[in-house]
Amino acid sequence: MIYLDNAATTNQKPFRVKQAVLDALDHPVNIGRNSGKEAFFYADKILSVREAIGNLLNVSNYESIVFTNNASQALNFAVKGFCRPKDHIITTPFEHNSVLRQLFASNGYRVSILPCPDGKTVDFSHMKDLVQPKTRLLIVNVVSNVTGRMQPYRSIYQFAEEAGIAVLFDLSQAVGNLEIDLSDFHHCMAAFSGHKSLLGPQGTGVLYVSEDIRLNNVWEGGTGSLSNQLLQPDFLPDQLEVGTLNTPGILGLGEGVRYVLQQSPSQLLQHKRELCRLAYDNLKEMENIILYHDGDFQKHVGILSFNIGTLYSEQVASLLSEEYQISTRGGFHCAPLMHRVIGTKSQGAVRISPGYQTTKNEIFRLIDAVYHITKK
Amino acid sequence: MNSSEYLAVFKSLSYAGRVKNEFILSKRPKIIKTPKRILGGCSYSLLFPKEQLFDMKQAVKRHKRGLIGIYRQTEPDRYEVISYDLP
Repeated sequence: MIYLDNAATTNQKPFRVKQAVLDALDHPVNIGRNSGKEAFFYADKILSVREAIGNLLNVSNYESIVFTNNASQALNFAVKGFCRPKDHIITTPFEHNSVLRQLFASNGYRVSILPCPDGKTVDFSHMKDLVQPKTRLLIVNVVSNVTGRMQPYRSIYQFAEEAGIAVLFDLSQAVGNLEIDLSDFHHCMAAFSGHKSLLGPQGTGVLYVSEDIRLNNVWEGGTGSLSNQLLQPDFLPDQLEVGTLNTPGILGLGEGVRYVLQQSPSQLLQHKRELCRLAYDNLKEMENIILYHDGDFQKHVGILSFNIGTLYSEQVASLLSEEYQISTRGGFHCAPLMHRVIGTKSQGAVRISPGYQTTKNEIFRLIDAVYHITKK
Repeated sequence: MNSSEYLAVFKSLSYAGRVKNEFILSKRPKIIKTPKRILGGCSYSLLFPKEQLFDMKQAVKRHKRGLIGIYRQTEPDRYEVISYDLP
């Protein structure tokens, strides 16, 4: 099977990731509770993963790096921990359902969505018009998981800072691809998963909380700290790291992050971009192919979405899988507003996302397969 | 623990680990569970000799957060606080 769904989960992990997971499974200890030498040894390893993630984001307050089960949980901690009912939140059509479903659930938030008139980039110039006295948070997905389009997170933060609004960045498709620097951002949070371009295991995610942000408790439980007190600790990471940590997952994630830092995110991205360009250049020559990409690869990560005429995207993805052994992602990618913006709210789109070990030959196999489907 | 030893008591393991790593490998203090006499429940401390008291204060100041206090052991299972609010 040719795997081209790395934007959902990277399929091939460096060997060291697997080694770290196995090592932790062979030495199960309860970090933060147990008094044995082994527990402290693995506690140091967990701390070193916080440091590695700090290096990835260029931040030094490692205690503000909270391990979660995935990006969705991190985004829930951020929104529910920071906002209260009747607070006003501004966001974009780029967002994943892990944000949108919170905002449109009965949490009492008031929500404004910035326009994306050209189907490519969000128009942040409208933000000043949308800001209200109760506006608390701007939520921005830095890279669309549908089109791979990047948004200028630094200038977005400046917009928000001038308006006195905190920012929550969804970095799920950005980390491991872009060089991220949050060192100057004192009023922001960032959430991402560990199992995509960071090459970690599933069941890992991160929430980073900058120093000027205080969160309310969103859940309570054992933390291994101040255990004689009935109230939840008010300091990070303990406030949000409730229950036994996913040590195998976190240590695997640490090795994934170190691998990405050694190779450099931009180097890894270049390979994936080149493969997407190869697919783009060939698919655009075919009849009946609709590409949701303008060919400006400097503004996209390694994601390319397309449709074949009016065929349902799920149908095309199934054909690719069953007849050509190519694994892609059809449907709506949990991003319904983005599909409205690009005009695919009924059809969805077929998304390909190469990984760091995907080869040109595999992309040629995809090109041939799509060509055959268009001729059927 | 000897009676000449000191403890830097932290709110959580993450804070203790961070300060511990400010010391070079050969002089790194040991992390231990905080004795119940000092703090009823779970907490973590760095155990260090008197000679490292100055370096420990400097490391805690650099780190800024998470310290509950620095204690000196006076007798077996008895401690006196020598500093609460370094940063």
